[in-house]
Amino acid sequence: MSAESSLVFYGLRFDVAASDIEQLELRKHPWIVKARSAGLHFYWANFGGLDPRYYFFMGRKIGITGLENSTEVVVNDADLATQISETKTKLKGAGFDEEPKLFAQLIPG
Amino acid sequence: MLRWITRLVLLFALGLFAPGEAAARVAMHVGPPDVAAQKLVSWGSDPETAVLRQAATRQAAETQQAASSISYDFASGCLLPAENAGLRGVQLNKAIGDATADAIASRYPLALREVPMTTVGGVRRVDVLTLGERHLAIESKVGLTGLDSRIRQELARDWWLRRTGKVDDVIWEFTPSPITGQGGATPALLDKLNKLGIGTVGP
Repeated sequence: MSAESSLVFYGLRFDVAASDIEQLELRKHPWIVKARSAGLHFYWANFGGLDPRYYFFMGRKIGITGLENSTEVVVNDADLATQISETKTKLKGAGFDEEPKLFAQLIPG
Repeated sequence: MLRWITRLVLLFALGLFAPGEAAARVAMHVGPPDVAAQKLVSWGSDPETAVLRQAATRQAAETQQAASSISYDFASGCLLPAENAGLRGVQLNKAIGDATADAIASRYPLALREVPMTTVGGVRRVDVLTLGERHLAIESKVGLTGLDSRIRQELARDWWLRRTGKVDDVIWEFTPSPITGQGGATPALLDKLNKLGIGTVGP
């Protein structure tokens, strides 16, 4: 089983349908293609554990905490403001008009 | 009626029944002795190993207790599985995952659970590390597992562990989920495992 961790991400979160998974695994899904071409981070995983619930995040990965990742995530005010501003611009440039949010999402083991 | 009296006497004897709680579910722990913890006692004496052993023993005991927790439903007269014993979501997930990995570890005469190993990319917590002549790192996966972002990170670190000789081999063992009934690796993950030379066990 994986070690529990928490994703801290600023951007958009999409529900992943079963039909999306194969293309995401092969990194050919339109979300991944758009994120890469816009210089955005992406992260997707099963956030539901044994009751699978896949999310795809696009925007800025601020950090991941957990035993196999960082013990803490620290971003100062100015850097955070810059990251938010840049991410908003890139998302709009990639054609995503939804309002991005800051997520702290548990990834069960 | 006689059946109910017999049940109450049995529960009194076990210290599990308190008057007034007849409508409630009474939790009890019926798990077998902690096999993993017993195995660790005879291994290693250096300080680092001792710390590892203590941590593994404590955690194994806690998860064994959670995984073996069952409840007695007075209304139906049935023993209920762990999923109905107050364990939900993350806790249930962990209890099932730990119980599965404990079962894998119990197949080996000497094995450690949840061993953190340092790789170039960061820490990798090995679910089961066999000891003795061959150090085998076993990753236990319950439920259908795909090649997502986290799994890619785990694969990279497992590959590094083997490449650098920190372990002799890596195996990913898949077990069907008791919740969905699904298990195994998706074709993309299976292909990646094969390319990396990581062995697989299970559906």
